[in-house]
Amino acid sequence: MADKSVNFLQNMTNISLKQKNYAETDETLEAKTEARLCPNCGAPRAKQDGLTHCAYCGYKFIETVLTDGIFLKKEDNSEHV
Amino acid sequence: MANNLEPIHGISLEDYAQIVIKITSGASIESICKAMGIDIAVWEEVNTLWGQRMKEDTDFKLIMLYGDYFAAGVTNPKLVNIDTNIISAEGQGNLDRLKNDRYFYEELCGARTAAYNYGLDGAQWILDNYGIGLGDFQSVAMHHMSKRNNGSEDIMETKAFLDYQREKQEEYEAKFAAERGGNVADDIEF
Amino acid sequence: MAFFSKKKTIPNMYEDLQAQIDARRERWFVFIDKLNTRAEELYLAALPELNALKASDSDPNKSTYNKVLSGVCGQLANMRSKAYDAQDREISDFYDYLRHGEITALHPLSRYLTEFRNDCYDRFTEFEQSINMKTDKLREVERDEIEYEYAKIIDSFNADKDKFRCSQCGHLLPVERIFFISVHIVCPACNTQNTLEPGRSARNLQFIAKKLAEKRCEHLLNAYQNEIQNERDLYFKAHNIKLDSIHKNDREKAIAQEQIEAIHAERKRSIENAPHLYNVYLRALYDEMNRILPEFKEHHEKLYLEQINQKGENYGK
Repeated sequence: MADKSVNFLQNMTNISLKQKNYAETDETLEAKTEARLCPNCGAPRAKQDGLTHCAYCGYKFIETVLTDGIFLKKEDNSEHV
Repeated sequence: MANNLEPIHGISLEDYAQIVIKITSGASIESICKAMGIDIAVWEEVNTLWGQRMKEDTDFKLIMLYGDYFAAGVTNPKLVNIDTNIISAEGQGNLDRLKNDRYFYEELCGARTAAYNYGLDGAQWILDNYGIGLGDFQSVAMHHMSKRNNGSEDIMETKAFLDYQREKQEEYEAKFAAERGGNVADDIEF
Repeated sequence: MAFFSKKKTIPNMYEDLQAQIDARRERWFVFIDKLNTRAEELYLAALPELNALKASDSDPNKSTYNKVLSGVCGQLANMRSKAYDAQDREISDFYDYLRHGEITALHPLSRYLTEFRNDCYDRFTEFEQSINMKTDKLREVERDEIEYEYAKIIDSFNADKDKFRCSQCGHLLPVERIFFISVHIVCPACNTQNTLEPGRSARNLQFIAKKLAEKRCEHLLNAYQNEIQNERDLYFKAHNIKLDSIHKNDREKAIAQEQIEAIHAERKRSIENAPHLYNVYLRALYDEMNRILPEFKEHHEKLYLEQINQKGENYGK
């Protein structure tokens, strides 16, 4: 009766294959790097005075206050607000 | 505020719960970041670290609170209007019923488990058959769970719900088995 | 249950009753053997099928493979629960019926009935263990591949790390370690803040870290589990010597007692050693996780403490 198992597997696999996969992740296969230009003054974002504000015009790239996280630290908050 | 409730990079547990509702309902990370005034690197830390705090939460206080926030839905004005997947009229009807009819909710929980036992993705099965996405389903689940946790459901009620779920699971399993030509060992009897 | 409910007034009533018990035992063994054979067939058919699915599935989440794996385990669980329900209905109920009816404690077949039930339960337990073993083995395929997954992450990092360039001036960005989530990296040449968004491979690191560490520390977990099993074995060994000695003479009883004491001493050492072995395993596990993901050390240590405390409570500390 090995057929019983083989048949079941075949039927189940066919049905499983037909089912759509839930919400494909949109994360890309490849890593990428990006720089953001300041939408206010057009300068590329620089890390001089923290990274939450534009070093040139003070535009807020990040509106929240950074805490000590994994790679981001409190020191990354820009000083002049 | 307890240490593990301090906001992470300025994102509170309440914000976080509402963001997760939005994302699981199809909102893009980009739109979330824009609304909250953060960038992708901040968001990914926030997401990772709140996840860690929940794993560390041995007395379940944080998780219960998260459940309450999740059940309350999206109220933050920054997030409310962010586009998500548009739910069909039928899906909306089912979603309302899922929230108001506890037996219907238990039935779908049972069906979902049955689906997994028969080689289907339960989340996709619910989306296909009832038009309800994972985010909305989880949100309703949290709503029912927070009722159980805050004591407005007694132990007998809980048992009745779980028995019903079990019963429904068996019904769906029988149906799924039939669609696959019967269980492998259906012909073996004592 | 009609066939054993007839009243036995004939002289060979014990033999008749005994035959009924034997017949039921035999039927139970045949039933369980059939289920076991079928489970074995399914398992053997599923292994190549799952491997083929995994190899041919281009979806990175291997969704179909995972769905079918879950379905195969569902069928194995279905057989187990079928046996479990039958045991309830056909063995436990049968036993209770006789125990509260014809074969009470002082009946000559009392022990025979108990043995019948134990034999049947043992057969079910063996079957259940064999089902669990199959489920574990099917899932083990995933576990075995974890080193390979890790090697892929490392390879992909080594291949890519000298390719990340500043999107403003094109200068090489310093990417010295595996970033598994998006990070800001400042360009050493023009000071522009770049955001590095890792690819799928690097992101995977935080999700495989625990499984990888578990795989690497498996031998230590086995050592702990073997000690637990050793303690159980010693307990039963002593118990059996005690049972066997009941009907023996005093001299033999004294020898048995000596043996039992020696076994108990060994068992005591085993009981003391088990928590130690568990701690060794757990520390090694979390050290390994810290090596794989040093950024999460603080988080790992919190989980470690929690797990140590929990186990401590279980050991009655």
